[in-house]
Amino acid sequence: MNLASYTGAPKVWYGVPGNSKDAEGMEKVFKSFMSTKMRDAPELLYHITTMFNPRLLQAADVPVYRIIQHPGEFVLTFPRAFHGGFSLGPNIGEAVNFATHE
Amino acid sequence: MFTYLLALKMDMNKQFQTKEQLLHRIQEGISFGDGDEYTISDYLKYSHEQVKHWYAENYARTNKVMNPQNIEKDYWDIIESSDQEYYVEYGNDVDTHVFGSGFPKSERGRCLGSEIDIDKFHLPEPLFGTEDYYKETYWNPNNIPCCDESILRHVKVGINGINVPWLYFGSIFATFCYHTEDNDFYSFNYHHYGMIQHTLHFIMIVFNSLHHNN
Repeated sequence: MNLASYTGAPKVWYGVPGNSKDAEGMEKVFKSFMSTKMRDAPELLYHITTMFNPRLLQAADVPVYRIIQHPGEFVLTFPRAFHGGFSLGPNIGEAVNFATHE
Repeated sequence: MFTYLLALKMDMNKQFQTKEQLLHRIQEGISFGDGDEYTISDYLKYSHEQVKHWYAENYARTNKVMNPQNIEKDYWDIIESSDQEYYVEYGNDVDTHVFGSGFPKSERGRCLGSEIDIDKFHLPEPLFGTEDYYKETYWNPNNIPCCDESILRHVKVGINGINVPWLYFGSIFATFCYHTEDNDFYSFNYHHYGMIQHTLHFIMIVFNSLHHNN
C-alpha cells in the first residue's frame, strides 16, 4: 500500500471496555498520569486533549484493545468506553451518536 | 457495487477551521490552538504533503517500510521523546449540514429533516449495494440516531455531533484523544473511501458506462 498517494489511510484505535471496573481503572490511570496538571484543571478528562501510551493501561491491568480501521468500515463505541487513536495518513471520517433504552 | 459510497457529495469550496495539535506535548493535555482554515480539497493536499514529507525524512533513505506498525512506532516516539517537535492540523467536528454528509439522504423520513418521497415510502427495503440501500439503511450515520431502538429519535431538533453527524479530516498522526461519549451515548464512526473528486468522476463514468452496456 502506498500511503503517500492514497486518501483513506487507516486509523489506529485504542479502546477500554465500558464496564465500571475498566472505565474506573482508565480514569485512575489518567488521574495518576496527569496528577500535577489535574490540580489546575480537574475537568481535564473532558477536554479531550490528552494522549498517552496504552502500555500505561496494560501496566495497571486495565484491558485495552487495539484495532485498525480501514475505509468502508465502521467502529461502534459503547457507553463509558474510553477510546482514542490517530490517523496513518489522509482520511475522512463521519461520526454520530445514538442511544438505547438501557 | 460500492461506487455510491465513493460519491462524497461535499462542498469542496467552503472553508473549515482546523485545530493545531502539538504531538510532542500531547501527553500534557494542553488545549489545542487554531490551525489554518482549509477547503476540503486544500486539506487533502495538505495531508498528502504531510505523509510524503514524513516518508522523505524518515523512510526514503532507509530499508524501513512505511507500514501501519512502523508509523504507529513513529507516533509514540514523537509523543514520548522530546527530541522532535511535530505539529499537525486536524479537521475535527466539521458540520455535515454545512459541508454535506458522505452518505446520501433518506427519502423515507429516516433522518432529521429528510423529505419523504411518497412513491418510495411503501417500497420494500432496498437491496444491499444499491444507492437506495445507502440512503435508507440505519447504518447510515444520518439515520442511526433515529432508528426504532434509539431514544435520540425523540429529539426533533438537530444537534451537531449528537444526532447530526460531524466530519473528521485526518492527516498522518492527527489524534482523537482519549474520551467517552457525552451522556453515556454510543458512537458510530464511519471511515469514508475519500477519493478526490476527479478520481471519483472517473469511477462514476466507468461505472455508468458499464451499467449502460449491460
